Amino acid sequence: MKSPRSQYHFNFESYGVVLRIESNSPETLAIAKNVAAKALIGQMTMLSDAVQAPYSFSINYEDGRYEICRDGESLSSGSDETVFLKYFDSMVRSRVTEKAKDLVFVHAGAVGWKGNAILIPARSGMGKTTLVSELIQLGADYYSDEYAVLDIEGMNHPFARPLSMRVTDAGEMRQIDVEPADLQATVGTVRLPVGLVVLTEYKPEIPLTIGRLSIGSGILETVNHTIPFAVSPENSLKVLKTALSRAIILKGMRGDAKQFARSVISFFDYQLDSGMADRTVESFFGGDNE
Amino acid sequence: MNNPQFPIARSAGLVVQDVPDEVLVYDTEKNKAHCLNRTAALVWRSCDGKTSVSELAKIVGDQAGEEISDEIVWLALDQLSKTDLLEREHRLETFGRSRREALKKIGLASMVALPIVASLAAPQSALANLSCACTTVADCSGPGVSCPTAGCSGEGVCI
Repeated sequence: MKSPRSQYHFNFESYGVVLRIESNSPETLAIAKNVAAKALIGQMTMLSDAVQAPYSFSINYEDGRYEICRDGESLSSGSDETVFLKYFDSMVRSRVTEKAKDLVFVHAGAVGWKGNAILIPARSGMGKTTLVSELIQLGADYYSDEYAVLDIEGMNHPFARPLSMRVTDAGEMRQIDVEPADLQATVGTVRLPVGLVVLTEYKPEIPLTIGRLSIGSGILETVNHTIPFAVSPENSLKVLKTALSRAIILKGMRGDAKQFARSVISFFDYQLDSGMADRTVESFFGGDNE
Repeated sequence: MNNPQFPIARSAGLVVQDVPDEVLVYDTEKNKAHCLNRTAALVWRSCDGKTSVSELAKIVGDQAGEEISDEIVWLALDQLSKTDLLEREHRLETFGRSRREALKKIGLASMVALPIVASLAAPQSALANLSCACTTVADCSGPGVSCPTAGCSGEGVCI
């Protein structure tokens, strides 16, 4: 597909990153704007055309096919609008979360509990959203099912997009967006210090194993979920250190999310009330998989 | 002085971050992150190319506040060498030693001081951390996979 000329455009800023979106069609540009706004939970400030944008995306539509270019380089083309816009959504989020100014995005679920953030760093498909929704049911404030957003003081900010939950529909699994209000969730609005980090994967076939990590080991494990690490490792490590140095860090495999969420809250409450630790981690989590 | 028996800590291409009782090191050339426990970190920080293994044991022991044997230093150097954190290779085998022998000499009494270097490959790019990241088509479909799509783009995203 020959790249059609992108004559329509807009500039915007999100989390300190300035981008330009272009298209050969005003209708496609409007769709792209909606997708970007949703991907960035509305955190977009429109800028004038005169502003120089260091990053750009072009989305063009011609002869029944879409084409996407990033910074002038063609990335992909296709005719399925839903699939294509999902790809664009990923690209926009990728660019902003990697280049965000003064913030480090970590792929993690996040909730607030008694003035502290509980972070659940994990890859997609490891049960972050399920665990976050169970923690919400126990009274935790919703912060995100996708990103922990850490500032230079190590505080976690909300990224409260709709929860992306999996449902089985006619025998097929698909994802739906669920508004936090539909789960009776209170959405966190203030930044919180990180009190607890739970590195866990849903593995029902494996007996529950959970243990406490040192700060260094916890940061090492979290590096893998830290989005800007490849482009700014020094700053990422510094922010992770600041954020996690006061936190309790747990790692393990879990089974049922409901029971596990109860154990997490029970354990964290005890730590908060007692000022830590004469009971082992296992005494709170034992038997969760039964 | 450039005695091959005297290890030198590598510094080029590394990002170092101290945390309580540990040191985090990111190797920008190998794209690997390491966590050195206290013993490993003390040994690594003392490798100046002018200090023998026995002298390192004394220096590290003074800093750690406990007796550190030559074998513990050798074990630390072996791990630091395997993770490319030394300028020159300093593996146990190179010097006619074995890990098993070293551990036997150390004995259970000193297990608390054993050096540990934990390592992980760091993420290549932001895309690897996003939903729908993939390396093959199999990552984009099937049970437990987040993206109900059937193709993996060259950019590593399911489409």
